[in-house]
Amino acid sequence: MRIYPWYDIVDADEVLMQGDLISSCPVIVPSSSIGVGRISAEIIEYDVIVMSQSCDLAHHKLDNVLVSPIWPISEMGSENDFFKSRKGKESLRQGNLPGYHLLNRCELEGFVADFQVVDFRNVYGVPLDFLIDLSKRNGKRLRLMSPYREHLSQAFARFFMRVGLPVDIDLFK
Amino acid sequence: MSVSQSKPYPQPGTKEKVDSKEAFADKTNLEDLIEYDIVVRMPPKKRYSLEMDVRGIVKAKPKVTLPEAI
Repeated sequence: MRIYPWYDIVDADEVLMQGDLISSCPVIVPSSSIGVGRISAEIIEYDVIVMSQSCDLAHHKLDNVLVSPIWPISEMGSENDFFKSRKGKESLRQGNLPGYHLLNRCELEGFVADFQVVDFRNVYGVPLDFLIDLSKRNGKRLRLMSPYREHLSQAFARFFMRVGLPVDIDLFK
Repeated sequence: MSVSQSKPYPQPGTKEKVDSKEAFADKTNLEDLIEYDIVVRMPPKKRYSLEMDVRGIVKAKPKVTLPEAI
């Protein structure tokens, strides 16, 4: 039987692909008023996963890379009890929480991690050249393998294409 | 209620092959199939401030990327 591993470890100088996990990615949040001169800005850091398509990344067809924050499921659980419950975890596993996506545990040496949750509601655009530099500085990184990265991408598409109806059909009783 | 056997969102770890609606209902808690709209506002991993010099502000221009075939 073929084995389909979820993750692989790639070298720092490998080309960036969809599904690459980048740790401590900074995002600049500027102060409300921006003008020429000195301003203060806040930097927030997240562990992220690359959502942009690999072909766009490989051919530099974009300036900004779409990334989604990822969280260990235990940290999500400490913010919201639903993620601690069996029902919550099972809903997550089955894809019934549209804004979130579950990634499997990683048991690769040096990259051991619990289940992780991808947050589709808070995506960021990070300049491609900056992200390439950051990934090189971070060293070896984890890569979500096929078909799990396409599964992630599909989950994001499903989240993004949702339509809320102003008047829904009543529940059948 | 009809339940499709082909899950639109298959997940690894599902080993059993389900043969009938009854078997499916036996093995699956139907409550698990409900979609939840839960939002958790996670704080960033790290947060700090810095001062930066804005040297100029320009209106962005469109960057056109044509498909290979054109």
